[in-house]
Amino acid sequence: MSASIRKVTRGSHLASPVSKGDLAPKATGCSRDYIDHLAGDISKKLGYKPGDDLEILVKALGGEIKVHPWQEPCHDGSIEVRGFGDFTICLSPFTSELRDRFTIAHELGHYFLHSLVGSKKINIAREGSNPVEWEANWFATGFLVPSSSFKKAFDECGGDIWQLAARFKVSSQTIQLRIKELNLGLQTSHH
Amino acid sequence: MAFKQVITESELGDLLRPKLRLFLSVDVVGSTAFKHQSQYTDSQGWLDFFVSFYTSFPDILAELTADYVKEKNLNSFEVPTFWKALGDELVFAVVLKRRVDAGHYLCVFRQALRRVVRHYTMGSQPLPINFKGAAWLAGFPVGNAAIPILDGEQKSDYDYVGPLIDVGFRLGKYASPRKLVVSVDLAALLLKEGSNLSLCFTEKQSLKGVLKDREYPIIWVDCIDDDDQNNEPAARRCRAEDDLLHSKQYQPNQLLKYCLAYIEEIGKPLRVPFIENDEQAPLVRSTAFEDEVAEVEQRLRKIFQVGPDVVTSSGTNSETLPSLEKWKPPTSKKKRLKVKVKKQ
Repeated sequence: MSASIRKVTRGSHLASPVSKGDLAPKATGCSRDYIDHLAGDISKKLGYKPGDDLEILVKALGGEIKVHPWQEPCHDGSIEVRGFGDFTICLSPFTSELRDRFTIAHELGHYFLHSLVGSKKINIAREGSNPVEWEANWFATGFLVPSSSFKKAFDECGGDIWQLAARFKVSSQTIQLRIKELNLGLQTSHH
Repeated sequence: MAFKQVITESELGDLLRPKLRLFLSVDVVGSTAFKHQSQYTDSQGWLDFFVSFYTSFPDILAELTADYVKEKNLNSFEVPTFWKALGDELVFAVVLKRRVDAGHYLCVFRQALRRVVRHYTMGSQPLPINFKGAAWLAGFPVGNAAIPILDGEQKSDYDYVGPLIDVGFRLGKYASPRKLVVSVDLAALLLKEGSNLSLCFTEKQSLKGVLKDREYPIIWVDCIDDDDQNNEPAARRCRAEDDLLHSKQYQPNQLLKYCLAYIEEIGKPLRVPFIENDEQAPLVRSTAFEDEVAEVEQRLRKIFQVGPDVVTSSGTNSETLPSLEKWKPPTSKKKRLKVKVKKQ
């Protein structure tokens, strides 16, 4: 999502927000660490740099982003994968720009991990707490805030949460969690 | 929210140290209609929006501040702290260290307003709401008061009360998505500093219950972004309206002269803003200020139980005062805390 406006088009065929039968994905069972590194590698291979526009990236992958009409009930986000390079991410009209960025990265997690880049059709909404959602969250964090570049940025910014949030275009909460996950706060206090 | 009843000498000293605070308010326009328009009230979409807005706007403001500080290479520039939410309104506060910072904060705040306006109201599924902002100054401890809050109650360490806080909240009524309304003393500060923000003055309004209902100048910063391609028609319409309605142009120094004359005529609680220990230069302030601070000190000593700073085993001041029950505040004027105030 760019720093300006949700430029996505109004869609008549929005992804169904409910996971059904065969379209409900299964968890990979991979470890958090593995998914974290995988997401970092994928973002690198796609040429994604911290803070880049995710809409452009999704388009480059063949996908599209739509915003759900505000008059109807909806989830924070959902993805329908129909095939390789053929998927739709649907965002809530109520959520903030930073939340949307995390949601897009989360849905890309489903695309890479659970649909295996379109080889398996899936349709899933961002809701509840289960292994499939955990994996997508781990992917989102690893994608938006790759551990290697984050460690470097952490030193450059002197651990300043706001500078880091501005650089990676994620919420301060995500930054704080990342610092904790990577034990960076602990390292700083030792210096 | 619970106020502290017991404070330390250090805390009292901090309360008495003259501070000029800038308050920044963002309010949601049309929120009532939005809550009632939803055909699917069970989904509580409006609740999703408000939670999202409440949690994200402080982040947006802080991140834009971080970007701005980096871009302008500013030193010791703090992020405005979230003070309180009042219905659909969020208010932030920050202590100004330099006069020029007022303009910097206003620039960042306008960017933050523009960003939420773009995100929520200009996309493919725009929400039937909008945003408006207001900004005002209040000096402490004379005229307005900061009241310490018990630890852990809120993000802010203080609650703020006073006539200029009331003026600020009244100004919000005259703000709109286009007009970021600023108080007259803030306008004077911005104009004196030659801020890049151009100020508009189009009307005077009586602010209910404050300043004895005297008319107050509605001065505002334009939030229309002429460079925003997504909002070109609205920008064109606004400029055309300006040509029609307010064709008479004025120079910034004319508006500054008016603001200063207004402040002088009204008198207390308005005053020409000053910042103690301003890195640029101290601003002019009343010669009676030191006496006013002394009066405030006496009043605060009556209101609060003021105890000595307790030194813990680690050598740091502790805010827990276990022995305060038996302790009595000094009454002698000689023991009053000295606050250095330069007379001019």
